[in-house]
Amino acid sequence: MEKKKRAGGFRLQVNGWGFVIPSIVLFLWLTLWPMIHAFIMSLQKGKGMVTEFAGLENYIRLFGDPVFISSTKNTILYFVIQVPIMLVLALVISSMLNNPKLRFRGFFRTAIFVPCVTSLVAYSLLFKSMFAVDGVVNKALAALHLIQEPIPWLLDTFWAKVVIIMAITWRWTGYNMIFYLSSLQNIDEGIYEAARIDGANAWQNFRYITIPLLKPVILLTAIMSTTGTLQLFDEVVNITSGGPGGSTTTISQYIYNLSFKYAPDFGYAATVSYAIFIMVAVLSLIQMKVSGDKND
Amino acid sequence: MKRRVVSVILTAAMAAALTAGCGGAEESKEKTSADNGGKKKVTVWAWDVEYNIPVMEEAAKRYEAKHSDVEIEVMEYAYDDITQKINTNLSSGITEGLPEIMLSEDANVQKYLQSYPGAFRDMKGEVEFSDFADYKVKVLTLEDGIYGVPFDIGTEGLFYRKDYMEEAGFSEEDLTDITWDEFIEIGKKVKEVTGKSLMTLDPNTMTIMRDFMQSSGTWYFTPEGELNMEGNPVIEEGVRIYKELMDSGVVKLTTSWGEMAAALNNGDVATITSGCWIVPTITAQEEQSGLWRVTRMPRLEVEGGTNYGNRGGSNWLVLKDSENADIAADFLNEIFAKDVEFYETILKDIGAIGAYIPAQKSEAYNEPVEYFGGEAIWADFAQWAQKVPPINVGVYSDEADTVLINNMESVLNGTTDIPDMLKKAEELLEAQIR
Amino acid sequence: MTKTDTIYTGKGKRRISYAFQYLFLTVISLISIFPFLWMIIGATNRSMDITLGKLSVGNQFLVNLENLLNAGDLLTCIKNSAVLSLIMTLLSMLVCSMAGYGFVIFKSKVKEFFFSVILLSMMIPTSSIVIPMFKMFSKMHLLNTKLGVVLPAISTAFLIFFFRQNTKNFPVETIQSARIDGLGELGIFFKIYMPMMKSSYAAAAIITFMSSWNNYMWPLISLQTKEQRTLPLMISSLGTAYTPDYGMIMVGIIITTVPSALIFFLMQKSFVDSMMGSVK
Repeated sequence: MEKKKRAGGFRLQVNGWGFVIPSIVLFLWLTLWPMIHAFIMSLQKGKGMVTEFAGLENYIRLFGDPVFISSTKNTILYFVIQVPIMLVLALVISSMLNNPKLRFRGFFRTAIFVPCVTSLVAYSLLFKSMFAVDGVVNKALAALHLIQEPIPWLLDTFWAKVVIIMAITWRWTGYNMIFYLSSLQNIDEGIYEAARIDGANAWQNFRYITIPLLKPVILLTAIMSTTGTLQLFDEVVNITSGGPGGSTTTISQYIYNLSFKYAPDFGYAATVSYAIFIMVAVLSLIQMKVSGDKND
Repeated sequence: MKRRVVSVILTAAMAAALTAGCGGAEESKEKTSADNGGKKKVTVWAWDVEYNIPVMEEAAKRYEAKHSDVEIEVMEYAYDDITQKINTNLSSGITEGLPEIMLSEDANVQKYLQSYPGAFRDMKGEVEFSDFADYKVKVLTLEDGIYGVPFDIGTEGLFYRKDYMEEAGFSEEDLTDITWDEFIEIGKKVKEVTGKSLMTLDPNTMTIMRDFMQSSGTWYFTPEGELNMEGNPVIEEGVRIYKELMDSGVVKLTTSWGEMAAALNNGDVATITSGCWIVPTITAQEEQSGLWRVTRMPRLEVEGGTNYGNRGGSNWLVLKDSENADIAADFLNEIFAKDVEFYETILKDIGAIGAYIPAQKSEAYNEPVEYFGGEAIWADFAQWAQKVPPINVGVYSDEADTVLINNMESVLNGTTDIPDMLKKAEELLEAQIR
Repeated sequence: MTKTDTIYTGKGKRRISYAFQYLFLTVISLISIFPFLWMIIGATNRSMDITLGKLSVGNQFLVNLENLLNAGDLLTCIKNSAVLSLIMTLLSMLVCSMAGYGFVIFKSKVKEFFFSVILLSMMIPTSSIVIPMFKMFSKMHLLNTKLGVVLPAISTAFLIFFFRQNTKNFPVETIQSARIDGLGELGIFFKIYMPMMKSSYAAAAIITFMSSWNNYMWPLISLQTKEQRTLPLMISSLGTAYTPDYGMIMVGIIITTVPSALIFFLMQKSFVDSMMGSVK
């Protein structure tokens, strides 16, 4: 008997590896290996093919680079303000849409999802014209007597950031909603039934059943949004081009500029990439710890 | 039932993956066999499906007609996509996949030449460069070589609404060969009388600063590549005019091409100073036919300041290590540096103005253009192009733009005076490019 | 605020709550859908009307479509994109769901370590590893091939993470009883796990299809010929111009958008009905 059990355990372990090996191999080969190369690149300076070994010079350069510092500040600001707003919104919407008694759910779901398939080119064109000084947003606000003077949305360092935050939230809330909705479906209705019998109210249900059960997915979306926000590129490039005066520039945009807009400095671009990498890694680690391995 | 569906899907996935694998191998084989047999292939990378692409296709058609063993494939990409592809390809040191010919904007040529020495073909001696506008040849020159063949010009003009100007009491003469200060004064009057803004301005770019510098024969850098911002009288005057424009209330601020085009087509602005390629954007609004005119752009009141500038315009570069670089060079020489008829065709059909001087005497250039009141605007542009001061833009212009954009605010709000701002900007730029 | 609110409180309160929910969802839906509608309207207008902000349907759709068809080989691009994204979606879902499942069900210290490393890789911007990848794929003769585009997209940190997180609520007892019934490990995965996780697979299918269909950077860098070009590359090439034709671009964008929207529309039912139709 004992022997058989051990054999079973062994078989289990082998099979366990069988499940994960394909992805691990592909990952080591096609991601980790190039990442190591990118690190070696980050130790070089110069433009294009005219490069020389620089040791840690690029890493030291980061700390005295005003563009890097300001784009890091901008990026972190987006992250701190936008991610919580978006996730809470997505959570609220998906728990509303999970109610089988609510009508037109299919319509609402589709409509709210639509932004993330709407082409960036199209919506940035629209956003820019809507938020122009003489655009519809200002006209509407003026008609409602909410403002006296038109707001220079894209021309003011504060408002431009607001527009970017609105744009990202608009685009990605529905995307995050999908994760919550699909995960809510995996929760057994019976749990809510039981809670109801015990006299739990709506808020208690949400707080003590929905949230804890969704925790793994909330962690997933939090880390994903962190990654997404810290690598934010498209919205900024298309809506504000990083302006005015560099006030909306993100780190990803800076990396792009270093590689392809400015004289190509791939070494320093790789260095900045590693800086993002370290920041996101630390933030994700914190999120994983905060969300608690209780559920693990 | 469900289980069966799942397994069907999985089987399909496996099959598909296998097919993809085999397909991949086949495709790469196909490519080589096509190269060996039949025709020699020349690949061209370019952007703009309304302009550069049809021009290149016309050139290809003409060359292929005489050389039946050559096939020219024009690949259309976005401008940014070409930048990414070519930089990746060249900096990884791999020649596979390099095109024979690529299009490069004037301002970026030196960046490529100096970042990838030896990657581009020196065409000096192969092409008669004296047939091209001086400033265009300068763009392609590095040390003793001339790398590439000039294509179109972006000669600047001051496009203006004749009706608005007349309403405000200004004639063509009042607008021709003026300074930017005089231009702003005109703008104030126009605003007062017609309520229209003078021009659009995008504060996220330094396009106008580049106009100032190019038309005055200077740049952010000296021809030797040294920084040339602090104490450069042209840039100082340029920043002053920039602030003046912002303070005068005569500009409409825009942040994109779309807003700019809308302002033109809506009749919100009385003028635009831009490269000659802006013409199709203006003429898209048929209702305004006959209302527009064009004259020489305003100048800075500095030593060397002229009313001739250039914005945009590009060149064909040959990748030295590409498979059929020799044929590519011959193709460019035969069509772009010799074929006058070709230039007439592309002007008539596509509205493209080449930098090839002999073509400019042809009929097509002297055709009156109805939209601009029957003036021969193409001949004007071609003529002005020859007076654009040649400059050396170096490799760090975009870095310089960024630094200026980010520091302009301190001048606009009056906290810093111009020389101090430029001093600081130069220090920052120095740190950036080391 | 939440769905249960309405069910378990008094009638008046319930009605107010519902009214509020409908109002809230309607406003959000309208804001969400407006740019999409605007895009469709744009496809029927001239470029100039689009920049001027015209909001009514025009009659230029066929002209715009014709311009688009003349601008490049649309059909080849659609075919390439369809083949590539179908293969990528299926393969990547299979490989990543197995990994996510394996990381949770057969948890071990070493596997956790590998998982953390994989997760970390999600945080490096693609643009920074493109050059080493280009060198690698050139040596393997995989540039300009479909296989070369598919390979890096199979094992994605995000999807592994997604399946790992979703497997956490999976009842382990089910697996144990299946083992007692003599089902092999692969059998358990395919016959029990997969059907039970239907709604997760549906969500994953939508997300993965979207990212494969819109996959940009690597196809751009690795593909070289017209025969291999994908749809996003073609649509992007229309954007840079002295005078961009937005009418034509809008038509292109709609063609690019439809498949993702369609997949969502088809799949969304699965996350609603899965509990009722759950296979057990």
